[in-house]
Amino acid sequence: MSTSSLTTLEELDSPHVSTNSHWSQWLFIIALVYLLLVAVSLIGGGFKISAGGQAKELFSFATNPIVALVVGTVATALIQSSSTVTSIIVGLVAGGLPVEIAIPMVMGANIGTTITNTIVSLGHVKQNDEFQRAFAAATIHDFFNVLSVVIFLPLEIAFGFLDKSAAFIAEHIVGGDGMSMKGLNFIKPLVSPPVKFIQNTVLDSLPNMVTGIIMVVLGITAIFLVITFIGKLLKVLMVGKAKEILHAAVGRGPVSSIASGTLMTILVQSSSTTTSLIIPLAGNGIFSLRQIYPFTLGANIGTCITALLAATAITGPNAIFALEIALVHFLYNLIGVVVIYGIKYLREIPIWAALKLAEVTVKHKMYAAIYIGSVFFVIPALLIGISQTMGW
Amino acid sequence: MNIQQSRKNELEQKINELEESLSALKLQLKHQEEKEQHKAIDNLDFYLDQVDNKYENFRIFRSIIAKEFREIFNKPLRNDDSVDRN
Repeated sequence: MSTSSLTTLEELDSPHVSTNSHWSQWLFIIALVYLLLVAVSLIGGGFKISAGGQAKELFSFATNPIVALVVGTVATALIQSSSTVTSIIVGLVAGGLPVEIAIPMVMGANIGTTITNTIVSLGHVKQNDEFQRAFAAATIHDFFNVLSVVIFLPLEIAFGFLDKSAAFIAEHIVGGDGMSMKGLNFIKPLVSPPVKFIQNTVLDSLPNMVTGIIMVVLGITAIFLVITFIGKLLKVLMVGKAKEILHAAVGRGPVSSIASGTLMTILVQSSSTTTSLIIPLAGNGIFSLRQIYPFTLGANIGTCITALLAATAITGPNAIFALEIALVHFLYNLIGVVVIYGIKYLREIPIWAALKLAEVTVKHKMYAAIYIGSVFFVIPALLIGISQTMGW
Repeated sequence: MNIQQSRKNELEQKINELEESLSALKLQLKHQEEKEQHKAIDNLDFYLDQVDNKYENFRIFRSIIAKEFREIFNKPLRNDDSVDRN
């Protein structure tokens, strides 16, 4: 019987596994969630101190939405976790980063996170037909997210519909300034003490700027570690539930698949895990591209829960903005799925693009390397260069 | 006329029977596919392990890319092809 906190899958299946092991893992997860809230609060507080009210000037380079989009894409591609990046963004908005700068970053995070399932698809490279199916299954997510940005970023720049909608909802939830939501008043007294301890005791002797920077770095590191560990733990604990959800979705329509993708991502707290899991299933021909497509989109929606959770950590006058950016993330993904998947012509674009790319790539595997390098690094760098040169 | 009508009716009946058989076969195929999908889901742990070992995929991929590059740069030019034209 294992007493380790990270029980293996085989041991979980064993009838002799102690329920104490399950309880200790769930307690660990609750502790990690608490640490996530503290980390987000640290980032918000630290950024506010270090920026000294100059947050907009500090991020002036990202006032160009293309640059902000690229920052979100590359940061997420490097960290391979949109949950981490969006939680950090929530913290930064709480610290004063304008929401309008954060919105393209959140859109970029959607694109950057798809690098993980593309890497997983490379595992099928030895068998041409498997690789073709797996690569198409991975890149359909990329093409959907890029199409979503192409459609909604210009609309957002022109009309600010996501910002306005999210602000409207946030106002009704949070009210005026401060987190006056009845159910969440308990969070401030839980989260504030460690943040104040670090700020006023541990870092007391340092200048404000340094204190703020250290708090931000600590917060970012903590978020990264927390989300990594939560993901690992939940993968082990929730695999049974994940199987139930997937079994229930077999043979049903796309709406059921979207719901399953959403639920599974909420359970494992990682869209990368959900979308990567179906790559081998698609590669082996068990699920077709059209079957996994809506499931992938569900993961886009499910991943928004982490940013919403992170937003609950923020109190004070910026709480409403933190909730606003988390709601923007959610609305962007939800509307994207409804519009793009709902309109037949738009729905077919990612399918066509993924199939065409896979057809070409299977003949010359190096195109896969060129594709990954281009989409996640070279093109973003070029976009930044062009926008800086043109003075956009 | 009766013979023609009778022939038409016969053909229509055969077409209907074929369409019913095709529908039944499609349904059987759908059930078979769903059975395979349920079986694969039961082995989800195996696919989770594949996801966890994704960086191993890079190593395999890298060797294949390296081989493709070598094939491109070692490929002889058309003029140098030593094709025996006899």
